[in-house]
Amino acid sequence: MNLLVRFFIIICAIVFIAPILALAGEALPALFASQAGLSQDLLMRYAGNSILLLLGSVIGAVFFGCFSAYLCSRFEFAGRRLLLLLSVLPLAVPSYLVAYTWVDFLIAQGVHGGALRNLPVTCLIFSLCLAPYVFLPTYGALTQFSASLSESARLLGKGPVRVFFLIELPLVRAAVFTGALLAGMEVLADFGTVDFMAVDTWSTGIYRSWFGYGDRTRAALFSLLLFVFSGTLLFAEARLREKKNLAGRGRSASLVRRRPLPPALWLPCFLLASCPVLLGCLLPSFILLESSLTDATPQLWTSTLAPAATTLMMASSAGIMVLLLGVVFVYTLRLSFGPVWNSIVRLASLGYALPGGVIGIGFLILLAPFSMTGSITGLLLAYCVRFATIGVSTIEAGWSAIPRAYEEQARLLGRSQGGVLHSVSLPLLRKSLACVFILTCIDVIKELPATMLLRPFDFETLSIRTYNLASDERLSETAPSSLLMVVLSLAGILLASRFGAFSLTQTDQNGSTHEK
Amino acid sequence: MKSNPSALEMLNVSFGYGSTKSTLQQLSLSVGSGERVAIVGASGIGKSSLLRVVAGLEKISSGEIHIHGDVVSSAEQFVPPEKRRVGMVFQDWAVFPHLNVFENIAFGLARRGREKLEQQRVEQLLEEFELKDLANRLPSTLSGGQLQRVACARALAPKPEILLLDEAFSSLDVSLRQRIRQQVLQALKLEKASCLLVTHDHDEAAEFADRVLEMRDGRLFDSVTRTSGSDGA
Amino acid sequence: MRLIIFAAVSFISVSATAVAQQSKKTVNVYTTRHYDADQKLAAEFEKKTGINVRIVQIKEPAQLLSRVIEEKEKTEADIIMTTDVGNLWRASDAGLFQPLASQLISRGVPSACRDSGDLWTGLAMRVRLIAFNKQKVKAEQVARLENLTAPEFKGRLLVRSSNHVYNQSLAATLFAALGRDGLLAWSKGVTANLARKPQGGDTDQIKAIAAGEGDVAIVNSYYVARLMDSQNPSDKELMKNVSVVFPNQKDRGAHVNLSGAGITKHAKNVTEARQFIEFLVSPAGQEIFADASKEYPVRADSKAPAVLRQFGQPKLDLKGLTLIGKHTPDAVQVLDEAGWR
Repeated sequence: MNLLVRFFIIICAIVFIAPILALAGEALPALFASQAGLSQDLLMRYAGNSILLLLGSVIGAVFFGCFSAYLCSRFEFAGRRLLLLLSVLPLAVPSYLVAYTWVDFLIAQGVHGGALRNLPVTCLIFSLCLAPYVFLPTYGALTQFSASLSESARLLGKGPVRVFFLIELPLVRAAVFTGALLAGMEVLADFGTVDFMAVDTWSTGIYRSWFGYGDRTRAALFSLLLFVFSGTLLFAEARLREKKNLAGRGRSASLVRRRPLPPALWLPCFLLASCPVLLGCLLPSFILLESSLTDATPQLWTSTLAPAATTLMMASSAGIMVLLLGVVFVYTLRLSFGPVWNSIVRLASLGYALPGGVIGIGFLILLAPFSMTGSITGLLLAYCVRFATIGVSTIEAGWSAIPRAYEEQARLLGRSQGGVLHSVSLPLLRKSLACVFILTCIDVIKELPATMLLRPFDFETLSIRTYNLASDERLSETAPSSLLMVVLSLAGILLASRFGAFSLTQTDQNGSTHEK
Repeated sequence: MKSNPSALEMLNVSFGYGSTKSTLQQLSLSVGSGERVAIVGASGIGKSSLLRVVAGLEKISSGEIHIHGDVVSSAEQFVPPEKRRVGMVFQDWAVFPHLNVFENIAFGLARRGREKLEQQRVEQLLEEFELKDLANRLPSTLSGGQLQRVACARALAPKPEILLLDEAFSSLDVSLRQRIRQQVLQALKLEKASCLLVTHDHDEAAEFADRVLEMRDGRLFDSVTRTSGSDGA
Repeated sequence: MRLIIFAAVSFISVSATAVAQQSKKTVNVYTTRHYDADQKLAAEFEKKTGINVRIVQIKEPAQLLSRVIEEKEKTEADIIMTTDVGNLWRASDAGLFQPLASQLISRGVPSACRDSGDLWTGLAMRVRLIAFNKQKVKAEQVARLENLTAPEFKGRLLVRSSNHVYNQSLAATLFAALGRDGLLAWSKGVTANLARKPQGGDTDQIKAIAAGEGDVAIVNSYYVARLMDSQNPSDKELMKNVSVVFPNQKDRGAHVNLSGAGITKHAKNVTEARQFIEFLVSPAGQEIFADASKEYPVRADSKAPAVLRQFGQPKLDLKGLTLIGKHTPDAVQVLDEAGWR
């Protein structure tokens, strides 16, 4: 078993690291070349914008995500369960779609484009779209730890606000950070949204070098720099989690009891907490629906069906692959083969730190000798590299919440390592696994650049169709394909939460309701 | 020793986590067949580590551990925990939350083709630990005392050579603790299993065990005991 | 386990649909174009010849060329088709093409719209023209691109980002026409006159004129044509006050760009590929370009898109075409220097 795992990891490591090495090989000449290229000033501006955008968006996402998570985990109020269900929905709508829809809609209402396409509005869009990344782990963590912790702090004379900052926030910090990191990666890797919103980021630098200056080597170099930056963040997060492994200690005794929300606070709280879902999902969906009903011809509808089927199949295949990868990777970490193996796993899950277009190029170089460009296998491999982080981080977080005693106990009861995995760890990880599957599916549904670059003949996904129509400046015709994308993702999310993917309705299973 | 080997024999065992090199120092211990030994000592002193090296959850840095005459841990050899025939009840019981009471107890028995035997064994244990009515309940619906009994029944189900109890009673209230202790004691006698109990409670140790040892500085010393056995190195 | 089976099944079915279309006579096209016109052209061609046209569309030309370059002799592409003449130049520069060797093409397409080495041919043209608010601006004021730097247009100019190839190519022809310093002065002047940060697509600039955000915009001909042809009342409303002018009619002509195609060096279906390109430049194919995507045909004997005919037959800067590819990196650097985002 162990040998098998090691073998698999090595194969993965090769597949995963090869595109990065290919990229590095590509980038090397850029260090010595003195060709015309982006000026230092411009690069600094791109970097500065990227950091501002990153901070603004992540702070926004953390604010919205934590607010909803705290509200839903600590208070009882009318519409709580609805809010819980709704809070994940913004995941269904890619940020570029939110940007397209709102900007197009508002301009049609007479708002000037100059007032919309700027950094603060872009931050806001990202905050709304990415809030669930923070909400999910934070809510999970807040509902997991024992009530006695906050309660004893209350008895020690601290008010609810101070309890939050002194006890609850530190305890869920790792969860918040994980979410913030995922959100941040999305922001850094994005090109579609910032391009549309006329904000020049580091990604703009990559694309401009490549497409404007025709300088692929420098584009590769800038990609590598971005990769190193995001990689550092990822590593920091992993270290933080290793050191401060606060979750999953002690038994899940009494869960936190929710207090009634003061009626006067209901409306403002509910409105604030539903901002992401209203502005980042429901209203844009409604606008899309409205324009697909009024503008779209039947022919426009039928022509989106094939892309929809392709999208579904690609998404679910990639979902399973990322899920399996995640399990093997995290299993390797759990077995602690040693620091070298751990680093391999960490390195291999860095794909998220690379923009899809860049992974695409790495894969192009890698796959071409095997005639695998333009093959579905190649594209799926690229998805795996790109989204492996989802699998690793989600499963790792889930796994770290499972006390080791369960696994040790199972071994003492005669199960081999593999047997423990099958009979204890995986069943306990059910929710995390469903989470990984769905999150990957949704990301694949939204994915654009790698699909564009590596796809086979006559292969169109919904995101590509949407993008093509949008780049042909036919935004109104994008409505059917956009809407289908949203509907598919929404269906996935709702299905997953029904299966308990987001641990949002866990009370019946995990204990608190049974103390009579 | 060959003719009637001790259930557990530890010879000059040393062990430490990473930087703290000396959780166990040249520690020796022998537990006879059917004997119950209690180890007392302040918390954080390494009592749990002692159980964990016996169980094979940690690898020792030097020394040897024998179970029924077979080497299970030494410089050359390491038998994985699933092959040691050791049962353990953790401090927080670790009752699998995704399995019901019956499935938890049957967990260590599951072997293909022997469902019937398995069923009998589980029912016997359900009986012994007064868990019959709870067989189909999920752990999340059980009280602490019930969970504790499930954990003990589960550990005893595969008939281990030796049962390790890690502060297994300490989080229960006094009267409940007493009752469950008696239940476990009875089951142990019935199963003729040896037992190594770790506790910080001297009274509990005295009541439960044939012999009480005290742990200090990574070694064992005779405590106030009814019978005297082997000593620290 | 069920999940794994599900994945396997979906994987196989995706692959199966991809393989199913393999058997017929085909021609494989890598294209950067994303217009419905191309689907129509492919369908017409198939109807006529029975040859199946398979398309991979990669929007960014640099990515498309990278794919062909990396695939080397294993490439499936028989034809590379791009929207920007600079990319055709880059492709031939990278040795990706083989000669077209077709009388039909060389007779049908004027030599200014073809590669001198017969490696590629133009298929259709788009003109970059000036749209303006006819209530506030007179056509004479914007008769030349150079006029846009005049102080009278301060705060009134609208243009998309220079990240986009349309502006990069425009700048490249200006680089050729005015020299480095001339282009720098011009783009600085344009940047200084902007009504807002460069943003959106060409249609967005027209919308901004309608919304009063600015009065003058640089846009491509087929966007204007599409809006003018639209049955949508909001599009009609948009165009109410907007008129267009072909710039530089009295000197070098309006900036024009080509969509074009060539047969790849390692094409497996050379005959079919040639047949397809011949069809694209045939009168029937050219009509579809003019009709469906509102581009100007390259054939001298084909007609301009109907809605654009009212503005007369423009004088086009065909000389600039061949220089675009070579000058683009330099031109982009000048745009950077001028601060045109």
